[in-house]
Amino acid sequence: MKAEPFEPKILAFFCNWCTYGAADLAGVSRLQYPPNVRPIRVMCSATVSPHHVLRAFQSGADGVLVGGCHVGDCHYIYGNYMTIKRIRFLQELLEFVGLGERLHLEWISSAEAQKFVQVVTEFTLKIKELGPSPLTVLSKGLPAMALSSPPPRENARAAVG
Amino acid sequence: MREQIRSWLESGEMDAFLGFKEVEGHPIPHLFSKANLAELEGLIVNAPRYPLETLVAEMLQSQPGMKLGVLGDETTRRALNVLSIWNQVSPESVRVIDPDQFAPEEKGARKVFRVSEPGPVKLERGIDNRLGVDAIQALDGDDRVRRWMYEFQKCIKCYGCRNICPVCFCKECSLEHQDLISTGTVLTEVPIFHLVRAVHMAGRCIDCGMCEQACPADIPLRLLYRKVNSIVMELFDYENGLSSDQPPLSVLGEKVVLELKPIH
Ligand code: SF4
Ligand code: SF4
Ligand code: FES
Repeated sequence: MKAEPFEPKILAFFCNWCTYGAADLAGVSRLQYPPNVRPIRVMCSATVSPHHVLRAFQSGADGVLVGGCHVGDCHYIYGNYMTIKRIRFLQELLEFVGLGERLHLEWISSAEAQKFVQVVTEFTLKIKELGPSPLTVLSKGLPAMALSSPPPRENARAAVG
Repeated sequence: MREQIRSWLESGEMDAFLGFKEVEGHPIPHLFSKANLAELEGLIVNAPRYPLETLVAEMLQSQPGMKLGVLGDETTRRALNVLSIWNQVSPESVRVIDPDQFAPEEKGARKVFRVSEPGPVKLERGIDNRLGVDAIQALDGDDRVRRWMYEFQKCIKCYGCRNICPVCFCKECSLEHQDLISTGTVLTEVPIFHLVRAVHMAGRCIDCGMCEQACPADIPLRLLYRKVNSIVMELFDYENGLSSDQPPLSVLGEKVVLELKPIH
């Protein structure tokens, strides 16, 4: 049987005032982009809590994309000041536990349909290269990941996967 | 040191002093006051680290304005600073008494947490609480996930790490939020359980090490939070318990200094 090509699931949080508008514009302009993103419209990128991102990965997302207004253009003035702090912090934390690169933040205004298409395309490609989230791969064997199968000491590698 | 505390209590400069007293062979937190000065003889100064800060916060909330002394060290000071930033204690009400300052020659006599050498069984299972941030960073991405998942899945969800933490005080805890992390049954939902806690420690953890000591599953929690602390330091130049401002992830701030990370 031929293996199905890997189609990543990417959860996207798009700000209502900018990136979501860009997605709409891309749609009405009939621009083509990969169908892997599942957008969720939020009122500001700052409403995206680290909890949402972590929950997305826990629930099987292969990547998470956050789109907000350019700095200075946030409709809640300073909202995206918080967004960038949170996401940059999370990117570093995820990197440390081995999930780095799977979270991305981009500023896309409602006029930037081209940029929207480019970001979605590039990010999808990147997640395709990275492959399925190691969490979904590992979780299939999770109950078996018992202490009886320890990681060899020398490379500190857990004996799972 | 006992004499000093006695005189503070007598003069009323201090209403009460929180330390430890031996009860049936164990050091138990105890409140010394003017009413029971004789008990000071039984004050134990070399008890293992315990989050007295939590008791301080509770006492100050029930009796605001009380002048309290507490046995502690540098990490106690830091923890109280964090708690005061979060409006849990008023800094002018509490004074940390470090036995090392009174008897420097006895320095080190105090039982601070030392990570013990893992025994053969633990070593065979890859359990080693002496690992440093570098040891993890030397692994490639997939091995890091495996390593952490191996650690996290040992969790029995006892909430000990949260309960012992001197800077955890919320009445409602995200770790028990049913919509975020499944509560109740083990297996613990990992890695979200530990990552949520890690996120909440950003700008707070003072690296006292008690969580790791409390963890029955030997999960290297301190290592995880040490990384969190160093990220906060690198990105925001913020040092928990020493910086007096609000932690960076709790305030919007006046300008954006960080750059977006490119996709490639
Ligand atoms: S080391 Fe652990 S117990 Fe101590 S402050 Fe940090 S998270 Fe809390
Ligand atoms: S102390 Fe250890 S076993 Fe208990 S909830 Fe925390 S991480 Fe899990
Ligand atoms: S309103 Fe778009 S990022 Fe705040």
